[in-house]
Amino acid sequence: MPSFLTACPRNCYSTCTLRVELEDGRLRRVEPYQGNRATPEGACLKGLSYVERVHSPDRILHPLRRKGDKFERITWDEALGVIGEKLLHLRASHGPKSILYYAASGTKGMLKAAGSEFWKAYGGCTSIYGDLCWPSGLEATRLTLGENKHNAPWDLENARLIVLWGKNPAETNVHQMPFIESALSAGGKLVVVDPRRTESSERAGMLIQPRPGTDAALALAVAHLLVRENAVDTEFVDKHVSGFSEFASSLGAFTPSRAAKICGLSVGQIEKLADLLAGTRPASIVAGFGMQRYTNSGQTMRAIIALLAITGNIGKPGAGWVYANLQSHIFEPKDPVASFPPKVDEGPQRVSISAARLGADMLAQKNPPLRAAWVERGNPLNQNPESGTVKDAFEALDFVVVVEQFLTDTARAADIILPAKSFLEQSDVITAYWHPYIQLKPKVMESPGEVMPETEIYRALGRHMDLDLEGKIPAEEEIESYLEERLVLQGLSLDELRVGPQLPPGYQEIAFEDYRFDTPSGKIELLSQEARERWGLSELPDFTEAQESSTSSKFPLQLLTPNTKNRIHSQFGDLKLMRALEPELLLTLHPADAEPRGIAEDDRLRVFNDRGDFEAKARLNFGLRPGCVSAPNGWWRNAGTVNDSSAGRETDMGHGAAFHDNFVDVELLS
Amino acid sequence: MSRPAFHFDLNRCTGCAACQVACIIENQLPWDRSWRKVLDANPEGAPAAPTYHLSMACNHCETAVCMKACPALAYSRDHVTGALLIDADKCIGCSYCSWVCPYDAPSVNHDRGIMEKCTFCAPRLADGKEPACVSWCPTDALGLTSTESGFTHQNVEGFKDAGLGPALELIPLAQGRRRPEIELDPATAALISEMSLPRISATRGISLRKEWTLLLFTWLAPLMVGLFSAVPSRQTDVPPLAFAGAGVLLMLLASLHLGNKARAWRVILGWRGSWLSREIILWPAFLGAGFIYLQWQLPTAWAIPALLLGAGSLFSMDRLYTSIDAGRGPRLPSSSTLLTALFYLGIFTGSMGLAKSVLAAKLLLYLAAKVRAALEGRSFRPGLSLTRIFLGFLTPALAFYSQSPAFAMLLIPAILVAEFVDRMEFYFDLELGSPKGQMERDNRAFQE
Repeated sequence: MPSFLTACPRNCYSTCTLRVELEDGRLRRVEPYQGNRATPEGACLKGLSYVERVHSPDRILHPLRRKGDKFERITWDEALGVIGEKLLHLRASHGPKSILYYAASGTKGMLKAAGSEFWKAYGGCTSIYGDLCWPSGLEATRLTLGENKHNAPWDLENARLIVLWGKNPAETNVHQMPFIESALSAGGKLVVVDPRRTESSERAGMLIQPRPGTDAALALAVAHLLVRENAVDTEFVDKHVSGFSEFASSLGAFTPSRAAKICGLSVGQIEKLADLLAGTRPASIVAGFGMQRYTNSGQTMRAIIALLAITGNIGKPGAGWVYANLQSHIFEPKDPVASFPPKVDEGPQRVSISAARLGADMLAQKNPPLRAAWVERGNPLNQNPESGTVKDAFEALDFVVVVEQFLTDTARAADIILPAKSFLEQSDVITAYWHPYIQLKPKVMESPGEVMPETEIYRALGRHMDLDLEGKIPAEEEIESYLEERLVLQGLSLDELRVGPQLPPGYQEIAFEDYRFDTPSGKIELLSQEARERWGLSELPDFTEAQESSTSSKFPLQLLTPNTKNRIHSQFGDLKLMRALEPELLLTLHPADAEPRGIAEDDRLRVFNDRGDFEAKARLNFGLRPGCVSAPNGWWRNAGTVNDSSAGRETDMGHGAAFHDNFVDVELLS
Repeated sequence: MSRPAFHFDLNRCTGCAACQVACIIENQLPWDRSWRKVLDANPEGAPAAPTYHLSMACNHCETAVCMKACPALAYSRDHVTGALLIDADKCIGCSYCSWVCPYDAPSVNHDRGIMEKCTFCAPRLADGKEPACVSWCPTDALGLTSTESGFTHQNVEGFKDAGLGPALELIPLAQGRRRPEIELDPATAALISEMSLPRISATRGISLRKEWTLLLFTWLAPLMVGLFSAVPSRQTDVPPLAFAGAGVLLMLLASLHLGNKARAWRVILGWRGSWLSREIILWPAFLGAGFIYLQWQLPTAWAIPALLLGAGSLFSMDRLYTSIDAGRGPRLPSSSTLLTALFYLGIFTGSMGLAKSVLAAKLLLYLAAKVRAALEGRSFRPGLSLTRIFLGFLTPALAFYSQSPAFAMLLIPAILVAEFVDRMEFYFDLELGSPKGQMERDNRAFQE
């Protein structure tokens, strides 16, 4: 049976190497590949489920055109004709900026660049800045450490103390769990900080459940204790940390008893965490993305990194800040600054819409207002905050093109849907953000139906519109040489990648082991001028209440919208394999919040605030912090879209989306 | 003989269900049906209890109770791998193997009307590969070992060793890492301490909605044996054709629950080991012998073989169920078909001494089961219990002592209804073995 080495290109930590087996031209099995040290045991259930997904009867195999509430099949010629004519007309009458080019993180690869090349040749467009996922943490890390990188995933085995702070790898990065288990088996300790009792917290010694959005207060109180108890690694701080004395003197305000009140914790727990950090070396803090989806989260992340800096837990085996490892990102800028809006807007491309405020910003565009949108690799009608407004903004457009594999909510809002390839149908090179490998994802099968890869779609559309794309977007037979050219620049080659995943040039197994920090001072910066200059924040990490919090909202329950193991954002959830595991949208709530509302297990609920509402089934759980409710993001509108309730609001730094600044109430559906 | 065995480490499993999906893909099962299942303990997150998972498929036990119970001889053991296999061309879909399996491994394939279960991925093993669930477990929680590696069977969370020699090595949760220490601020902690503990829910049983014909059979079979046994003493008059016809009808109805009715004849093949086979062989034998005796009005001695066959069938019927109960029912339930037949015998032959003492015994057994249910915090179904006691015990008692003809008229219908209720409750209370049930029991123990 033919088998090929490839890699999963989803927006996921693990980015597994897969050995795919084909039978009669169909994907039959997804076997593990031990050569990737981060994912030696093979794919998670989603990776395995490509066997269903790639050949799903629900895949879109032909161009479709809206006809009333339904879609009808049309030929490529018709589809490209309609799109080309519309785009030429809009360019002539309103200018290229009347088109929104919305590309998200649905799949990785160098060939993503095809879209920008097309819109450049078209004469420009309007595009997005910021990101829904992680930028507040990236920016906090950049300001503090100068660069987003961390130790190799397998180095976590060497940690004697692991703090999973707002991360639930059991569901979102399951391949990290064996390394944690190894560390625990060797006598290491695990602490989990999370308002939810998650799968990842089960083998932990301690679960700390702060009120969401108050992690900075917890971190600063721990720092307060470390300084007070002389647990600071002064030698390390003297050599490698800038701004320590200012930081230390700012901690007076964060006594454990004050922080305990803010966070809703006991003083004892804060002291225990401080004791552990003071007495256990090496320590790693593994931070998740959910925690930085608050309006105060950049400062939160800076406060947590500070704990590692003052205890000397940077640049050593088993120690460090495990957030984002961009060492393999050698083909694009690693610096989050690249995704920020230009200070002076102009040029043909208008970068004027914040991903976090997509709906409102789309509606607010002037000179010219938006008339059309092209969406690829994304499902903004589900995944961007305040999705009701996003829906309104898309409905206000004259013309929407969506490139998709499935009839997502966004595809359903399209005038023309173009069928998208699966990851097995075109070669590409992909990077990762947890492990350091660069991987080849070769073409191993022909596309079904009339599916074409995006490169071919753009080239064909270019021909219809007389755009010159030669040398800009490679033809299918030029893909390998296109990839090779870019690999050679980095001292790599396709032949090497064909053997297996490769490490990038200059790769550090232990990040910052050279103690070189790409900050203005060349040191770890607890005090950052740029935090003030760029973001108008305090130069030091601090705690302020999030914009929407239990003290400011008129709604009583904080809604958390985490990811689950059964889905990558809004992908995979529609598969029958996944529906069997998770048939419907569940809202988890604590019995203490359910009982006064007369809510029992399995009751149908309406979750609402003044932005929107959705329906879900009640799941009672004692492990959730009372006052919080939790529902996974990514369900399509036919099941319930949690983002109908979230606010289109940016994080304090990095232009991220503050999804979790979201208060709701819950009532029984009669 | 050394043969492969599953290895499962509770510390490493995160409940991701990749193994469950792997089984579906490798065996090309429908997307929603796997031979391996991941079970979640403490889904309600009770603070005092650990949350953990068990990934369970067939354990290919040394002592194959499934194979022994199979009435159709559809089970076999692969000599190379030791895997227990179901022959799809022989299985009649009676579900009995799934009732006797303490691990709930065999499951019904409704499309084909047969039972299916894990095959240990025999083709992969033959290729030198691990079973798909083992090979594709992303956390290495599931592994492959050998029965010769010297592992011992032990009781771990959610898994009680049933003494069958499962090919499964379990690594229990490490001490000190069973659950996290959780502490909230005093106000929240006080609030939570007032909340009621989660209720114990699903255990595995026999669904009367699907298996109502079995209830009908086990309710009326004792009546038929009782009626027949009163014939020799000339207390009852049983028309031979009606007797045989009713008996055959009951049997046919009971066979309705088979997944593959065309192969129903195979049910007798397992007589060496299966109580189900024995019941089904002895019942028509009883009918035949009884019919001959009734039709040709043979001497009394000729009734004895028929009576023994009837009693044997009822005994097999009782054993069939007691051997699958996972612990909560008594070894001798008040609705035992043999006991009930004795009661009918007493009534129909007018041996009031016998009737009264069997009735007393049934009352005691019934009450004991109710007290036990109440003590264990299960529902003792007050409404049904009252009905059963009023119709099945008080009515006969009044009839015996009042000697009133009105009570005598009511006696038989009242008893029949009462026995129906008792038999129904017997099915309700019957708990089949399952790791899920064990998990819930353990969860409750943690909280107490």
